[in-house]
Amino acid sequence: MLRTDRTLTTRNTSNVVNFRRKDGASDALRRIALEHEPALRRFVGARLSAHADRADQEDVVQETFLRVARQEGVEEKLSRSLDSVRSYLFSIATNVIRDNYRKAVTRQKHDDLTRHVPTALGVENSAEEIVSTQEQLGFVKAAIMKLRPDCRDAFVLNRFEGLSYREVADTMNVSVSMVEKHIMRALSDIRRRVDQGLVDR
Amino acid sequence: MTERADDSVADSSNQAERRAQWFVMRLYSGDMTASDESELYRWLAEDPGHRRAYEHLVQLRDVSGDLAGDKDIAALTRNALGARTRTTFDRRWVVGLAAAVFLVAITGFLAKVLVTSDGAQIFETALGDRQTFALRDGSSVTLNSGSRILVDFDSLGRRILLDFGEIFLEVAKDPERTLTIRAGDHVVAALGTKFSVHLAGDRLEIAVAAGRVAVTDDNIRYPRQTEFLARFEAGSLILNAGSVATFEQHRQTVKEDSIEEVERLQSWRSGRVRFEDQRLMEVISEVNRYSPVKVLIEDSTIADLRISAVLNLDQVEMAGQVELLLSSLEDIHPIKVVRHPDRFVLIADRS
Repeated sequence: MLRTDRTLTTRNTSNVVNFRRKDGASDALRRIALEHEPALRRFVGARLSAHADRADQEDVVQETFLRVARQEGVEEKLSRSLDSVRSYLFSIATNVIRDNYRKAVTRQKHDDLTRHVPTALGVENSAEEIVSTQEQLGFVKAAIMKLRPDCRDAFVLNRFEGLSYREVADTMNVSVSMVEKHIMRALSDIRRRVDQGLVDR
Repeated sequence: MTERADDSVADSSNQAERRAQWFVMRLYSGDMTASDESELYRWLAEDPGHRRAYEHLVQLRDVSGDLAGDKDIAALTRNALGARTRTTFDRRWVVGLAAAVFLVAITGFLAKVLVTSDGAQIFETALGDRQTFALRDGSSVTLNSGSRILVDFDSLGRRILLDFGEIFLEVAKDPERTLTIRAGDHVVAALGTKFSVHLAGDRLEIAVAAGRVAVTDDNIRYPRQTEFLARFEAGSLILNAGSVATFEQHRQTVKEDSIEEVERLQSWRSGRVRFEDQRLMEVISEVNRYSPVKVLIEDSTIADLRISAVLNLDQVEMAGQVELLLSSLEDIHPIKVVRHPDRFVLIADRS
């Protein structure tokens, strides 16, 4: 039957519409939920890709909004332009996905059942590959440092400053499509250099 | 990239790389469309190499996030930000807003339809307005005065978020995609049906004209696909045709076999709101949903008077219709209407 208790467990509060009940940030949260939930769901779906259970997708969406609600100064963050709010939501969702993945890896190591763990991406990575993440990070950093200056600016502004492509474009005084090209080029160069680094070691 | 165009293996792998770069770039753009999404899924399914290329890039981009505290990276970021000026901030705000949401149509004078950059639609009616919209799946939705919904349909499900106000739905059958409405703390799943959902503050009212609906306040796992529906129904309240359910502050009431009440509650669809032996305060709060001029009761002694009346909605001059209704109340009941330019005040008529 219909449950009427309102125990505030994580699960029960994690739906976006429940932000109605909270004071303060509720209006801003309700608005962003209305405006961004479909995009966020799409983003999470594409990140988890076709293998993941739809319930996982829903969990990540819920957890993202929950984390946003807990953030300090959330009102200020959410009063920015629509695309930067979205960019911010995506970065939080990415963290949620990665945290879930790390938890799965830890569990897997703990269980030590197999050398293979299902990743958040839906593929399998060998434990060896996971261990090399720290090493990989070194190569990624080196690769970013070596990027062509315009590609590097676009990439770091988007990745580390959380700017949307539109904001990056305005900051760099170029068009959005140029920023998109820079981002693609940056991804390509980082991949090439990291692969090279891993081969050369 | 490669000059060796004759090397077809390297060429197709480069093509896959470029496609993967494009998808990852789109993924983080914030305006990936439903068609981008299905194209991505299709492309990923085409070849295991596509999936590897895509996931490798996503993973690299993820890993790079761990450099956020790195001082060299921080210096690069500061440097890149250096070009930013105050004027670009203002421009960015305006352009960003314009890019994300654009006005597609203005129907009549009052209703608005917005399409968000990800393809979801927002329908909104102003006070006193009423509009019916055909949805992509063949369903239709009618918004009562002062209502707003977000419609998000994709291959996985049909989701409507009732932000505020009242809607009447005629739902087209689609066994693959359940239609759900989220309203406040509840989720309503249509099981092929005609019904209305009215959200006013914390109070939710559902009236079922045909078919059945399932309601739950466990809004975490609402059904998106048929396979979830059985699970959803098991934990839900099922309402059959002729039922009126009200949820308010942890209380729920369900009236079954009340088709007349369902019709009365949905009478706004045909341009009239009928009141039958209802308390004056209920009538007035309903009138205020449509009236551009607020009506207030400033005398508790009249609040519980039983009233039967009709409010016409299809008139151009809504304020005039409200005044007409109030005048008829004055004639029949011991009520006096004090008319101010911005509000009508009801007091007891002691003469």
